Amino acid sequence: MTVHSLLVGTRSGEVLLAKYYQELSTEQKADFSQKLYENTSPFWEDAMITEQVACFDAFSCVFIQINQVLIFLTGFGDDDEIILLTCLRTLVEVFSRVVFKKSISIQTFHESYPKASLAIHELIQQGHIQQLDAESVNRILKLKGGAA
Amino acid sequence: MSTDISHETDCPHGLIIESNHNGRKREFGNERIWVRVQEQREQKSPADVFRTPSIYTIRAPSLPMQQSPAQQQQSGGLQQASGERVKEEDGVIPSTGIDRSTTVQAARLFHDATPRTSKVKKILIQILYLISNGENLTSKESEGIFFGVTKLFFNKDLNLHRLVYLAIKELKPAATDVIIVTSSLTKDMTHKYPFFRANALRVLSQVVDESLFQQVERYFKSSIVDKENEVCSAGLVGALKLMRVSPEPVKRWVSEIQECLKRSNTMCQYHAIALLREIKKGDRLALSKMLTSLVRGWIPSYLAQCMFIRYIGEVLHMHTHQSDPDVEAALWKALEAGLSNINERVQYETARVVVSLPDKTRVLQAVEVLKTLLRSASSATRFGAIRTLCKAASVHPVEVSTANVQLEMAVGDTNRSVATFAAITLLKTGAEFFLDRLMPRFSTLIIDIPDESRVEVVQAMQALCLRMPARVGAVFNFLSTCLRTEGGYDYKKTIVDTYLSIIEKIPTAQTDGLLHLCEFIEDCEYPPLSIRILRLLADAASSHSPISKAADTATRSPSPSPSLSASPSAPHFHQFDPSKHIRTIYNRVILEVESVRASAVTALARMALHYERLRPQILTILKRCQHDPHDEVRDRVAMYLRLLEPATVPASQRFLLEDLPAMVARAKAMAAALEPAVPSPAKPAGAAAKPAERPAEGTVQRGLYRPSVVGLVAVGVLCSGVAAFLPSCFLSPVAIGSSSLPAALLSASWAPSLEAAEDGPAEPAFYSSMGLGTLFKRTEEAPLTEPDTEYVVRCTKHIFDTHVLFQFSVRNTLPGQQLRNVTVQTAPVPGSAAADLTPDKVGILKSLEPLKTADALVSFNMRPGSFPLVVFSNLLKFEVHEVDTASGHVQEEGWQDDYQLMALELSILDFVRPVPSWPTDFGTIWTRLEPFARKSKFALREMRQVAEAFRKVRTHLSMTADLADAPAASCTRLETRLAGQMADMRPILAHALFTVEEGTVTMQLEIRSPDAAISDLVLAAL
Repeated sequence: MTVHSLLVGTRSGEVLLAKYYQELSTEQKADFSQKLYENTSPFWEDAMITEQVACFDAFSCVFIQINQVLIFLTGFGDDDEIILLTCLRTLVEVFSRVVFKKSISIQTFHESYPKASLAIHELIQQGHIQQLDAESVNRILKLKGGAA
Repeated sequence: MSTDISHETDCPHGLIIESNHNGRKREFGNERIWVRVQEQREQKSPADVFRTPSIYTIRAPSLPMQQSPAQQQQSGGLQQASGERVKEEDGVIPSTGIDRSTTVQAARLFHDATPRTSKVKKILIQILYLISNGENLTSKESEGIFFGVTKLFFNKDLNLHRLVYLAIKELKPAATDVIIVTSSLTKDMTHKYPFFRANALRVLSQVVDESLFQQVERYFKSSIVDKENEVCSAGLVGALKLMRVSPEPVKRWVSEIQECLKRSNTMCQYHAIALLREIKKGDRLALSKMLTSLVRGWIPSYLAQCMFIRYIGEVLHMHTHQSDPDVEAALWKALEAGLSNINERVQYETARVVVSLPDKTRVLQAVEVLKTLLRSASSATRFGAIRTLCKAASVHPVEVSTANVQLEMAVGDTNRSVATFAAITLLKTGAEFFLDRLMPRFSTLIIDIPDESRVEVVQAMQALCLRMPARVGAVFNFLSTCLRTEGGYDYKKTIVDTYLSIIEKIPTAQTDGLLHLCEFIEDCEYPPLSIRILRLLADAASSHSPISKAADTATRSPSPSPSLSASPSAPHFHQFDPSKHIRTIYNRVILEVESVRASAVTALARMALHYERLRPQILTILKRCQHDPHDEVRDRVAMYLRLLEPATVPASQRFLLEDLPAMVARAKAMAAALEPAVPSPAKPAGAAAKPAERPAEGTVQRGLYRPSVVGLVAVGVLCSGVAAFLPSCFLSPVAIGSSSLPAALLSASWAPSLEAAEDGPAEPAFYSSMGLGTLFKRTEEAPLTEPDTEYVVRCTKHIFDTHVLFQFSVRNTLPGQQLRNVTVQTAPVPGSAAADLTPDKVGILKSLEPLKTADALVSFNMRPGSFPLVVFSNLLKFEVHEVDTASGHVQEEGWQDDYQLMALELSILDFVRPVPSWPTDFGTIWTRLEPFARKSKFALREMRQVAEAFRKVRTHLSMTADLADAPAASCTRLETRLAGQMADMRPILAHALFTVEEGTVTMQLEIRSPDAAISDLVLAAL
């Protein structure tokens, strides 16, 4: 398993979308989210420019800030962060091109929540990276082609 | 509920949104954020938001942040949405939030015959949103929604169909309910759109259990050979999950999976190689065979190549002397090819594997690759490279030091995680001149990184300082900068620990270190740290006082006994001027909370006791504290003022230079120190037979006897209760060492007897009388009966050089029975290899009163140097005499009875004990014992944490570990060495690697002893 969790949140701590690929209690999820914010917050300004990497406990986290939305993709320390970053870039590309056509922001996130969930479902499956090709995901989201 | 975000100046009545656990405000992203909650005025931090999962949305004009052109490009060059009015569509999350109960109620619509599709979609999305935000649906609610969702399969709307997949996955239906959706999902396997086929496989793999898997197995098998890559890929990922449910059917698909490696699709190859490895994981030979075949082939996908390299690393880690050198050579060749691969991700993976392997021959080559990767444009690649170098620096510092120039450049990296790791690596490998140049940059770096990274930098700094003591000044300057920066408790505690460690090991640093710490407590927000530093000051005063020096000279004796005037762990201070610190301590009395004030008062009192010239001034200060608002502080002041009266000072100096807990701890340490001199603590001659050696009334014997006195004081305090004993201890300390010590206390704890003791089993006082030889080891008590039976028996094994003694602690739980002539009939079970043991003596317990416990003994002669591994059967035999519970009369007429006990085993681990101190030549012995090494891997299923597993394994093995500190609870990988001593005084060594795999702790253990059979036995005993 490569991915531990995908968390989309705002700078003020509101969770827009959270997907955990391990069985965790609500309390464990809350502790994890808190640690994630505490350990990455010094890098948020830099994350507006390019993706950032941070590690804490036994996790590696790649994240980016787009407008007010922070997207965190966390993997296990033993795995490598390069594939996580590739996955995050694919996710951002899919979000930008298909899901949030105007802009990735808190409001558009609420509006396009189902599409975002579907995109994540196509990209990450049970903690395994299912797809890294943004074009394929876009095609699937648009229900285009592939009919046998 | 709605919230409004604005800047601090715009919102004077706002509330701070973020606070750390101490309630101090904190800034996110260098920008202070204020939130005005209009409907509910309460402090809300991100942590609070997460703890009480919120579903409100922020009506937020975006924070006025600088947005660079690069960022605009990053976000796809799209227009900012702020200020735009965005139209709400069906299916969006309403800005007023979602009400859980309303949504659950609305889900009843799913059961309608012809529900409106748009309405159904909206409800489904809201349910998904609720689950994603941590809302826990009850099992009844989940079940109701799930059954409703299954009906939506018949809807023709494709988008709704996709949402149904998501909902089934999130609802996690019970195993009994899954069958409802199985047929719908299997029907989707023939859907005209391949991505519906793929989705059906994904959902099915997630919900199916072992019994249902047999019904759908063929769909997965056929998906793997499906011509559509996404279906194949979904089938492979599903199979990865199903390996945990039912591995056997998946293992039969190996040839189909291998075919997937030939596909052109990157992801198919990647998933296929991961699945193949999962199938062959437990079998090193099969795994190496598979990898060797892949070496000859060609893997076009770089992702698959990375996995291939990683699995090669796993196989090479499992190296044994039976490994085939040709196979290993082929695998190494693949690694060398990986280092020169054109893809930087493959290069990185290979370099990471190479530096983690024990073989050092190619480390330099890997470091060269990592140096190149440090110049990569991708921050993740740089991060990976620097993290690998940082890990490697602990094992291969010389090789990694060749990258010092690149590391120095990386300290200025825009990614601060990279910069932090570069700093830590340089501290591990860098030369002194690097340090001078980089120290100012480290001071800047430490301000902007998270506490966890700061802790690592500080710890690296400590290691460096101990390596280069001449640089202590620069390190202290850095640490004082760290102390001044804002940070959490753990961070500040690490800095204080570092100071203490350096002060202890580098005497010349003591004065500066103390001054820095005094400066820190002037503005310290953490009382526990202030208390520690105050205690350190008091210890410093004790260790350097003229009185202590005189006392030490007077009490110099052949027996090593720690000084009373400073705690055993306290460093010895060569230069200490107490007058410099009194002002700091007094400030604490004025300004701090009660716990710190109490400690400050104690520190002042101890200084007054030690320094006669300062006593009048300190007494004046203490008198001012008599009116402190807190009871504890006032009580301490009153006590110290009394003790510092001229008449009581001499006695106080002897006994009260510390507060009580430290004294008890010291007494325990002294008792432990005495143990070698007095083999049995219950030896009769030790206390009862040598009354002449006790000090006369009114005097305190110092030197050899002193530890005993303090030890007995400690026993008294522990047994009779602090409250009862404290006044006499404090006010008449001299009398305690003499005849005023409670005689009953002495006789109860120290008198040897095989008769029933008053409060529990007697101490093992029988060693000397039984002539058993030298004690090697005493095991923990093990039960031989259930805890709630009539007779509760527990056994302690005592291993001597020529004997084995079983001490059976028997408890008679029946109030109406007295047991007489109690023995335990112990005999090796037939078939046990008991040739090395011959029965010796049996200690009969003459009488066991009701509700009492006493010991019965059985000893065996043992051939010296042998390890008899025998199983014994045990039968408790006794004579029962009835007791009249009203009068206490015991009937003389009794009857014989017996009681079957559990079997008892002498295991190889009973003949192993921890080494008293860590062997400095561990490495040499380890290498010498290589021919007798035995290795095995254990899955410790009941344990979830590495730290817990480590503790249990160490205790079970009875060995000493090389870890100074207990591993942290969050630790997920731990490598440790263990050393023990066999009963024949030969060494036994171990190397353990604990890792967490899918939530279960796994241990790889290698045992080396002078005999391969012993290594095998130890592994078998685990």
